[in-house]
Amino acid sequence: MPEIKLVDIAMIYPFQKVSGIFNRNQQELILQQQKSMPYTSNEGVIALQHFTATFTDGDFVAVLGPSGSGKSTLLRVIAGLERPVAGDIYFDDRDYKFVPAAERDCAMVFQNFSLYPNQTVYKNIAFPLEVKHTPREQTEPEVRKIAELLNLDTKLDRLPQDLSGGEKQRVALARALIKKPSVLLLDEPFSNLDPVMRARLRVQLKKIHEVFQTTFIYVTHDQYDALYLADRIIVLKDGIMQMDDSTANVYNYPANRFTAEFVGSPSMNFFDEVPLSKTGTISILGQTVQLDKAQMKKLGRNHTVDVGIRGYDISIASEGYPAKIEYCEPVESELLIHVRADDKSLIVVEKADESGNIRYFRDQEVFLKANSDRLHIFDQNGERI
Amino acid sequence: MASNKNKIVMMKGEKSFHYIALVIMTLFMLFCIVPLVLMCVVSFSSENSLLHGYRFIPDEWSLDAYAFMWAKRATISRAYGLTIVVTVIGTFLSLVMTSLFAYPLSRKDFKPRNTIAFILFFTMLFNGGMTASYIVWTRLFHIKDTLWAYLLPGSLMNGMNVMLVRNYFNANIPYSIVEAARIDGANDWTIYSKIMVPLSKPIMTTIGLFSALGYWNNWSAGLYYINNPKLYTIQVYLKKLMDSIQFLKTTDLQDEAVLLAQRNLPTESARMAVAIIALIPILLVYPFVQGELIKGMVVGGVKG
Repeated sequence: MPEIKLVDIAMIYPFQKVSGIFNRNQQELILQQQKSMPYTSNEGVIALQHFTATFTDGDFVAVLGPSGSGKSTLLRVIAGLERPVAGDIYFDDRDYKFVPAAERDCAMVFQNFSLYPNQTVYKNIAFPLEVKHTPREQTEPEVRKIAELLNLDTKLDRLPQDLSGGEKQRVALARALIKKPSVLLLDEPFSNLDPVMRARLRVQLKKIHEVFQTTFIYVTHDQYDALYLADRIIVLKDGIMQMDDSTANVYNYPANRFTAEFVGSPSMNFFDEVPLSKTGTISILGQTVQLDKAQMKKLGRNHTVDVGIRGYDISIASEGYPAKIEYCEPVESELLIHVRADDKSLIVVEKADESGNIRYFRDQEVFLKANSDRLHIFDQNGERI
Repeated sequence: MASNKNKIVMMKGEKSFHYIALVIMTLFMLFCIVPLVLMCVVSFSSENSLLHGYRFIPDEWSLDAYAFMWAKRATISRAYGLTIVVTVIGTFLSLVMTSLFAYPLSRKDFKPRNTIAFILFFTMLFNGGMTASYIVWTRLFHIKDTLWAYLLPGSLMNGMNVMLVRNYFNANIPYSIVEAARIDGANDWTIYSKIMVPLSKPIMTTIGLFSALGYWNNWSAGLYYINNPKLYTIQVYLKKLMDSIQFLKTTDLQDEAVLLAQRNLPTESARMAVAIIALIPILLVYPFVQGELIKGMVVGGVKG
């Protein structure tokens, strides 16, 4: 199983498609001129910028980001469907930039399933082996084994059009896995499914990863998928990597304000431009927090910071910072309480009453208590300090 | 009362549109059917009753034309057989060539596709002309008096069909299927033969039928390139018959021709009878492919 290394990858989709070597040269020129900063170009949409990452064997990596952040482009570059304008791709130190998709040891599951409509489930699953001219006596047991693993053994004679969305996605997964690829690329595979089917397939995918122990790169804009499935998350925004770390670190110690706001539900509460005292303290919801030396050093001459705190780290207490409830939102076993404190809207997460009664009501005066150990402090550039 | 519940309620304007459309379509249908009926009636009319023109109800019915066909069965069946061979081989080759040309043009990663599409489009507007084509085909390719004369000039592939197939590939087969196949390890030939062609049944049927009709009705190639009567297709035979009944006397079956000429030899009705016979296979095939044909024509012409 190879280690996949992407080095300084850049990808541009030109507004005006000009084919041929001249266009590529022009793109490379733009990239060379703007080496050290995020690219801004009138030439087209820049889908990936200076993307560098390594995927080691058996990783389950989620690439998380909003629509248009370059997630799918990243997968297409790894799969060989797109050639990056700049940068290199290595599979075990071998340069793969010019290796065609068919020769890369990758498999891909597409958002829209991309099954072959004219072929039965059996033939769809067997397709990657058939194109390699694998003997039939070898293909059949493989197909049956993988179909059984994905509960498709009774559907093998059906055409894709006769399957439900979940079944189609499982066929796509089976077709990808039968190749026994070094890396499985999943491009928002569950986004066309209903929530129940999503949850079921999520569990199944996790189990499959444990069985196959191959590298999974899972692209999604759904942070719940990413947090549940992946051991490591890469956060992308406008084609720029925001963070690449373990799932726990991405959630607990977001590297920048974008990651802090994007990862986690409900979104993190933010206090903008909080002034820093002469002694290096800040005050949030009545709690005073002292910044340490390292944080002060990072901050330099700036005297304001942005402070974030998750709704789970604020509680409603008998005494504390006064606030008024705007409305309550029951979500499963939790209660999202929207409060207003000093003209600032915040979300506080409390456990819902088991009986279903909402013990808080609109305009109720309450007191908030923040867990000062769980504050996330960012400088004015949005970087964590 | 229950049946009223399911009745579709139409607006006043909609109703009148339906009636007008019905009248127009009925007229169109009559324009197509009437000549066919007339052709059939004429083929069953006696030669004398046709002296004053074609009539829907002739003065005298006759089977002379078909008797004449029967007498000429050896020639006609050879021409018929040849037409079938040319049509089957030609249609097959035409489908293969057209789809093989259209496939790379539909591939987004095939860089010169726009240039090639332009060259293809250019041939739809301009060509070398009759004389140049004739010289090239006869002097360079030596197709004169061979079956290739029916298969190659002008019929094997045309730009319009390639455009239709390419548009079908682009508009109806998601590109992600092609990409999935590439990642699965398929080469272009596998993608073309196992995915693109089987998924293009409607447009293939349409092109196939157009092409088959073209080959079946092709008389001009025989006229330009064929001198050997043994290589006449049914349409060439019909054309020669229409040009002059004297032609019969120049064939290898002179004796029979003279024999028939001594009896009141059918001319007009014989032409119609040959036309009817030539039409039968098309009439038989059309109902089976009609559904796919309409689908192909609609979807193939959607996107430019």
